[in-house]
Order: sequence, then C-alpha cells, then structure tokens
Amino acid sequence: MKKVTAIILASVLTLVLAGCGNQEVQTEASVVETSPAQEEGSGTEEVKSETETAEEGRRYTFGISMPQLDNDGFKANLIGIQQFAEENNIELVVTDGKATADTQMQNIEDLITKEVDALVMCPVDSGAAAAAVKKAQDAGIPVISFDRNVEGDVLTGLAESDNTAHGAAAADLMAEVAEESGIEISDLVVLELLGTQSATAGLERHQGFEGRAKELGINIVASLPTEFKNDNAYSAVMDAFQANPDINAIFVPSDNACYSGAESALAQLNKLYAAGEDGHILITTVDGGPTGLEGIRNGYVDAIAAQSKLVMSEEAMNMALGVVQGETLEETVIRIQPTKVTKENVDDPALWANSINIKQ
Amino acid sequence: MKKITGKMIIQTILNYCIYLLLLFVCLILSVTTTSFLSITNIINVLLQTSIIAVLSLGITFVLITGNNDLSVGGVMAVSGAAGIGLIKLGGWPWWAGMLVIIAVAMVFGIINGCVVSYIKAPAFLTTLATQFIGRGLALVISGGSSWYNLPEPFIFLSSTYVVGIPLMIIIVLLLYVVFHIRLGKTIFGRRVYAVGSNADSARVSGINVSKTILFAYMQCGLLVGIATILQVSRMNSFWAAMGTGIESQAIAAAIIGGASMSGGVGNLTGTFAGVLLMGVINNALNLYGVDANWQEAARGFVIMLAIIIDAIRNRYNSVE
Repeated sequence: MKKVTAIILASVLTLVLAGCGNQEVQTEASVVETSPAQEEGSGTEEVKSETETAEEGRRYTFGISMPQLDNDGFKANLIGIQQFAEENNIELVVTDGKATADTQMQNIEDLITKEVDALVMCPVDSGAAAAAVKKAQDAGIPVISFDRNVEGDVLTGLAESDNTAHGAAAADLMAEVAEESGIEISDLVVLELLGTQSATAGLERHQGFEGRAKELGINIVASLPTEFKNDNAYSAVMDAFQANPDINAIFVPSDNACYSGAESALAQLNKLYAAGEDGHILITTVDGGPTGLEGIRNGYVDAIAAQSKLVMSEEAMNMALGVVQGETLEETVIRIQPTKVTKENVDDPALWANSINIKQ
Repeated sequence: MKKITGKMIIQTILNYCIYLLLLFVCLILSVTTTSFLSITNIINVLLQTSIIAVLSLGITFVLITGNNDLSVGGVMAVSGAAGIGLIKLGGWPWWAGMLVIIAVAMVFGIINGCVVSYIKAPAFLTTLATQFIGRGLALVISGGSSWYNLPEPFIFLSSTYVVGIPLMIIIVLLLYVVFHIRLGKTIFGRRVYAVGSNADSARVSGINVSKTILFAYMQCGLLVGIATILQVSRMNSFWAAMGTGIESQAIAAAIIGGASMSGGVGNLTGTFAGVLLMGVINNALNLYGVDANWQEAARGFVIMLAIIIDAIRNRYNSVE
C-alpha cells in the first residue's frame, strides 16, 4: 500500500514538473515581455527595479562563473569584474565552481537557463569546461574567459596574463635592482624556482625568465621544481644552498603560491636579510599577491612582476559588453602585461592584492 | 475498518515528508521565479542530477545492507583515468575503454565487498581507504592532466535526444526502474533488506550474509562505472579531480530520501526524490542568484532540515 501511494505521489510530482511547466512557461514568458521588472526572484527584485529608472537602453545581465572563491587571486578578479559592472550598470549573477569542474558545469547550465546576456568565466579545468562553454554558445550566449584558456576553440574571447612577459619582466627587474645596489649583473648567481611545468603559467614564466636572463647575461645555477607549493619551495631553497652556497638571487615564479616557503628556508639558513643589509639575497617574483607585497614591505623581496588582475577582469568584461552591444571584437585574445612593483608603489590601491584588502 | 486518527495523518505526512518537501520547494520556485518551471530548466536539473542519481542508486543498496560506501568519487577518477587513458594514450577503441571503466569500477566494488563482508572490516574505513587508493592511482595514471575531446560514442551519449528528452535522462530513469524492481521484487532485494535489518536472523534463515553484502558492493561498483561513463560523456573530457566530494552528495541524497545509516530501511523512489531535492535546491540557489558564499551554508541547512524530519519520523514510528 505504501509503495503504491509512493509511486502515485512520485508520478504526480513528475506530472506537476513536466505538465504544468509547458503551459506556465508560455503565459509567464509573455508577462516577461511586457513588464520585465516585476518577474524574477525576490533576491533580484531590488536590483531590477533600478532598471526602470535607468535612462538609456536595457540593463544587461552577465553570468559570472568563478572557478573558486577561496583564493586571493580570483577574489581580486571578481572585484575587478564588480567594479566594471558598477561603472557600466551591468547586473551580475556570480557563481562559484568550488574548484570542481562538474559544479562549474552546473553553474554554467543554470546561468544559461537564467538567459544571461553574456558569460564571463575562468575554467576550473581547461578541458572539462569546453562542453559547458559550447552549450552556452549554442544557446546564443557569448563566452569570454579570463586568466585561463578553454580547449577546443569555443571561446568568444580571452583575456589572460602574458606569462612569458611576466617571467621576462622578473628578469629585467632582477638586473635593475642589481645595478641599483651596485652588483655587477655577471656576478649574480641565481636560483630559479619552477612552477607547475604542465600548466602554461608555470611553463611560460620559466621560459620568459630564462630567455631574458640569457639575453642579459644572468647566470642561473639551478632551476628546481616547486609545483607552485610552499613546502616544495622550502626544500628546494634548502637544497640549492647546500649545493651552491654562493647563490645571491632567487626567482620565485609565484609569490602567492610559494614565496613564504622560500622565505622560511632562508630564515632557517640564516640568510634572511632585508634589502640594504649585508648578505641580502636579491628576490624577484611574479604574481603580486598579499604575501609578495608583504615581502616587499619587509624588504626581503626586491621587486615583483605583478599580474594586472583588475585590468584583466576589466578587459574581459569590456569584451563581453562589446559583443552584446553588437560590436565585432578587434582582438579575441588580449594578453595582459605585468605591473612592476617595488617599494615605491607597493601601497598603490590599483594593485590587486591591495584591492582585496580594501574590500574587506 | 480502521478509524482515521490524527496520529495516522501525522504519520502519513511524516512518511511522505521528502516528497512533500520536494513539492513544496518546487511550488515556491515556480511561483517566485520565471525560469524554474520551463522544460529546458527541468531537463537541466535532471541532467545535473543524473550522475549523482546513478551513484545514489548503488549506494542505497549498500546503505540498506547496513554498510556505507565512501569510495565512489575516487573510483570514478581511477576508472575514468584507466578507460580514457587507454583510449587517449593507448589508442584503444571506445568500447574497450568503456569496458575498462566498468571493469575497474567493479573490481573496486569487489575489493570493498570482500574486505567488508569476509574480513569484517568497518565499511566506513575500508571504503575511505579505497577512495584514497582510487584517487591516488588516478593521479598516477593521468599524471594529474586532463584529456579533452572523447570519441564520438561518448558524445553521442550526452548529445542525443529521444523525443525531446536527453538520452542520459532516459538511461538514468531506466536504471531506476530496473533496480526498483530488483530491490522490491526479487529474492536478492529481500535478502538485502533482511541482512540490513538483522544480520543474525538473516543468517539463521539461510541467507548468505557475506555474499549479499559483496553483491551489493559489486553492483555499486557497476553503477559507479556507468556514472563515470555518463560523467566523462557529459563533460566530453576526463580530468584527474573528477568526482571529488561527490560521495558526500550521493550519500546525503540517499539518506534524505529515507535510507537509514543503520541499515534495513530505504527505497529507490525516496532516493530519487532526495536526489531531485538536492538538485532543485542547487538550481534554485543559482536562479535566485544567491551569493556564492552563502550557497554551501543554505544547502547544509536544507540537508539538516531533512535529516531532522527523518529523525522525528523514526521516533514517531518506533513509539508505536
């Protein structure tokens, strides 16, 4: 008896879900056309009513698919996106992929259902995101990715850091700082830490740094892997000084991911001195995260080739806005150049690591 | 003829609480949002829940025997890595890759089953261990990379529609029908309930308890294999982190649907409703545009609500 009732209930439910859906969609759809401000969920009502007061044109809604939000870098990207949206009167629906590729796919599907005008995203996994991006494109929603590419040539546009330029800039900075502090470039003995070489960020920063170092005549005595992890950076620095006690400069491919490990190792080795002190190890990094800026303030880090994350977000949003307004993109791939950070500009609010602190 | 008492009404309501809750949430959503009650969104929700639905199906059987399976996410990763790896790197044909996925997943099911039933190790720890083994081996095989663009038959699975309904949804519904009959109408199904309600009396009445538990795990492995094939098809790729944390969602859905952690209780209509409830809530939070940071907490709150109702129901039924 119970089972029968259960089955009846379940089938009624399916009918409610499937049957009613059809009719109500039609009626509600027509309502939407006449008064867009009244429909939609309670959560967005407030924002929607602003639409009526907006003088010109309709207000666009962009879906944002973040790969994860428990990471300073992506938080900064989101802040950049929100700033752009505020300035341009764009409504945002922000979703969090929680570093899980299938959660991100679900988020994107929900954004498609919500009929957003454009999707601005960064994939959790470049390969696994392609199916979701294609779905959005099939639904007529342009997709702009930032920070990471999506495989399969499915994107409308891409704004990412020029990682080769970031690596090269770190080498330039190393030479500049050496010159300023009176060290001959040819006297530099450099330990290069490597990021994850299977990812473009790790590989291209390495190529950029190594290439420019060669041009400048900087001597790299060791290139050790860290996989962008603090504990690996710690061991790498310890080991490197065992093998080469003469090392007087270190390149860290991501201060956000692995600088504090390197700093701990230097402290352990009694080699942690601020700039200007005797025995200071010259350090340049890429990224410009909160730890990196802290390193500069403490004097341990000399210079950073920081990612311009706020610019990256702005460019991505700008591309999306252009596409929904019917423009053809002049460039579908925008490669963002690094921002040089030293003691002089470390407190500049335009640096992404500072923007997240202001927000909090 | 029995009199209808207030107690009976309360009991009936409590027994069908999950369905009522699901109905309630759906009603609220269809009144307050325009996008919820559309065919595209319903298909959307069903597609999003299809993988968890298949996993919860296998887990429900295991839960009814009084055990648990935490390994499904790790097993998805390792079976996917093996099958798709052989296709992508070894040049194997698509069907061989699919068979490897099923085979690897079933081997893990058999390992779980043997260790739990014959060696009598705690299911929680055994399957936690196989989860780690699976996830670790997946990284060893794939080197942490992802493989994009699978052979045509995988894409066929995820992109085919039969009279407007995605093939994947039909497969999931068919699996539910078949296994609903298997649980409710076959000797195996009755044994599963008997083992979970009281293993000793099941043994006395001539049921091979260990074999029943092994079969439940093996069947769960088979379903994990199917879920893996559906998942890689849906995403048109394998990635080493696939299935991370999916076991907690699958177990939660089964328990919300009325399956008991202590065994002997549960059914597949309940599990399916539990899966849908979770899916609808996820969907709702996105449609409402709830702040991403609040979503996880909201989800936990709903699960808590369902579990509290379930606990009240159990107490109410046992007082009788």
